[in-house]
Amino acid sequence: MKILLEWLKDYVAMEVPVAKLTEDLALVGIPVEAVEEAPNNAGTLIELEITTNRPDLLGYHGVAREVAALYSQPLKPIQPAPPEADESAATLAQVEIAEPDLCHRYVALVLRNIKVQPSPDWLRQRLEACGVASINNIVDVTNFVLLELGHPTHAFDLDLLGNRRIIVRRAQPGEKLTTLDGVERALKPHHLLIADASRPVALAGIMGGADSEISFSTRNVLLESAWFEPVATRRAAKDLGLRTEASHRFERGMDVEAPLRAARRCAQLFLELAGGELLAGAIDVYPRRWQSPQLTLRRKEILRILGAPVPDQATERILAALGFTCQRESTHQWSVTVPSFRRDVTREIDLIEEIARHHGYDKFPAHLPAARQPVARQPHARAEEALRQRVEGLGFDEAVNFSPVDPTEAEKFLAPGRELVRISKPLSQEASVLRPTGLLSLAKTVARNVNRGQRDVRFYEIGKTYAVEGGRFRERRVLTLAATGQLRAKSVYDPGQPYDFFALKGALEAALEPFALDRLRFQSCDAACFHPAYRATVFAGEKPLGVLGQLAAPVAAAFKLRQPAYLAELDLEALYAAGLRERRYQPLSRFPAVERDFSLVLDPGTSFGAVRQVIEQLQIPELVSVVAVDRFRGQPLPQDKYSLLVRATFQSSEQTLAEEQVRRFTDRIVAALAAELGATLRT
Amino acid sequence: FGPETKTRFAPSYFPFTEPSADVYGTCVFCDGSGCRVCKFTGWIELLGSGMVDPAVYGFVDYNPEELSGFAFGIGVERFAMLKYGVNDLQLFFQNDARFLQQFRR
Repeated sequence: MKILLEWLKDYVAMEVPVAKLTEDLALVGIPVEAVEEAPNNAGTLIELEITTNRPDLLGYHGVAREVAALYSQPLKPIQPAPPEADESAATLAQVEIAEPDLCHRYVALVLRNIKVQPSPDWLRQRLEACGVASINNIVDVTNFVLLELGHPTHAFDLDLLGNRRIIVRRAQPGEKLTTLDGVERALKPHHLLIADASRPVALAGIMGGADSEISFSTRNVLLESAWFEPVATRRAAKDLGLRTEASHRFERGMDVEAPLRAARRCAQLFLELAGGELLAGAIDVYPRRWQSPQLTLRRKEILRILGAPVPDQATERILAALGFTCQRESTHQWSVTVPSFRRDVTREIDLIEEIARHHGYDKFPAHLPAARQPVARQPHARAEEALRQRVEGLGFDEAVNFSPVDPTEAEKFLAPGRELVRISKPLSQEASVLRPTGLLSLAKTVARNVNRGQRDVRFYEIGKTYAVEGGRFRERRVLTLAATGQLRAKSVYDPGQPYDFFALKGALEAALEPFALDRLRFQSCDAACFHPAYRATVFAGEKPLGVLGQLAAPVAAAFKLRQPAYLAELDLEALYAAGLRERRYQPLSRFPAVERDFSLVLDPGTSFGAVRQVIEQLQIPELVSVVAVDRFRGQPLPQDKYSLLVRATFQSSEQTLAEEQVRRFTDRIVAALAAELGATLRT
Repeated sequence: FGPETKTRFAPSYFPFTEPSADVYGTCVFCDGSGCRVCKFTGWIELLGSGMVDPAVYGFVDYNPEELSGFAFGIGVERFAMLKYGVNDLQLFFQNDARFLQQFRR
């Protein structure tokens, strides 16, 4: 709301510099967005931000009331009493309200023999300073009063109203109205209209019609000043794509006691600027009268909510200055009546806010309340922090993606037995289901980065996934990893190393190391989103923890990703259930370790994991580690076999191992591998 | 924002708090002297807050006559923008590696 300071001074004395005024207004809840010189040199304009709960501030008088309360100055009342002719207005016009719930009051004044002409300079200047174009003296006065009292009115050419009748009714099917901006509007049955005896003449509370508007040939005026219901006005305005100064105000709730005063104020100015006479008696149809809420304000409640007492004198002064009637009921409470222009105040708490903001928020000293219970850590905070540290240490940056996703993309990652969770009123098709997995999100994140030239990237995300499993909604918290490009960049001394499936497997093992899990086991899986040769489920003992793999070519192509990407996802519930490993010192052996290599000839389907499992099942206590060192195919091996070099390390904590002891171990190992896996030693 | 930062509460309006307040801090861009970002006021809006409106307690079956509470909402991206001088809110949602890499721990 733009306020010309020189105009505001008509209603309240203000001797403060602009900078102080803007500061003081902000501190009572009316922030000032800008201070500038009016374009036509009419003075200084301040632009106020009016919150939606204060429609009473959408006019100069309302703002002046706040300023008056701020500086304990009197507010100049506006009590127009224009002289009336003998003839009664009721003989020249009639008003009927068919929808009293949508129009609580309709006041009509009738003026006769006025002369429509351009407005005088003082009026034109004030309107133009506020960004309102000057049209003619009649329309300008209604706009002036709109700004001054904050109440919209509308002037009709009385002679253009059929039968000089006004009916406030809903539109009938098929009705149309050309509004005064020249646009023909098709009306819907829920739109409230001002109509004459035969046709619509205005969109109630929004805009007048072109057929009945004031022109230079107008002689007689019917002035409307009414109250229209907020929700109905807003719905109609939105339907028709209109937003006017009038609709903006009615939508927020106008003062139902204002129409008569606003009409008389317009009439007063009409007589002054356009001559003519005002017919006697306002036509005032008022089916739904204002009922002031009677509120009880308790001193102890002020103290309880605000934290410090407010002197009674301040309470009474503030409420009175703002238009409330305050009467002491007893030593500790008041009875307060709410003025009709404060529809936002309906409860004691609303009064307390009024008191606090005018008393000054800075009058309530800051103190920290005592907390009686200690701060509690979230159950898995430590575990999650350990996980993040590991993953970030492995070079992954945290990404955060939205949960609503595109169903066609989500389906590429949906595991069998799970269904997508659909959003019932999605904003768009691309965000109409909740993601069933984080793999989709990071696949897209990777694709986006690679296509912008960032080819060596690694991301992790800790987030939620959603699916319908066995007929029930299931939310799971997961850790997703994605990597692409180089594991190690090529440089002068290093040929570089691309990120591959085994690098991701290693990262996963490193990330899971702090957790108290059974031995990790990787088993080939059939997830369709991954490359058939490079995809696996990771188990901790028998418990599945998650999946990993290289993104399948068709899926990568769908996201326009032109280089291999490796992704993994772990179920955090399972992980946190295991918890972090308790560290316990293992004594160091004082005796040397011994290594033995096994050059094994195996069937192609036999994995190193299987070899290791067979060896470990022998439960040789002195066995410290079993690792795969090398792999070999081709001549002189037979075509249907491959060779794996496996290194076992033995160490005792009690003695140096003797040669025969070690040989006993190796014999047992060779025998077990032959028996279980048909493995032979290379010769 | 540092120990020199001053704060200020100004009355405001939110449907779920009563009384409501906007919390301002010394403008990080001009240290309170006034600049375009803070519209020359020297203060920058940080967050909204207020006493929880009694009507809200009705939804959780608490008695507003016995209980009072306060609430505040901090836009985390907004704070990050103010603290680190990030000039585009969308950066927080795009997951561009060049942005994320600037904030490694």
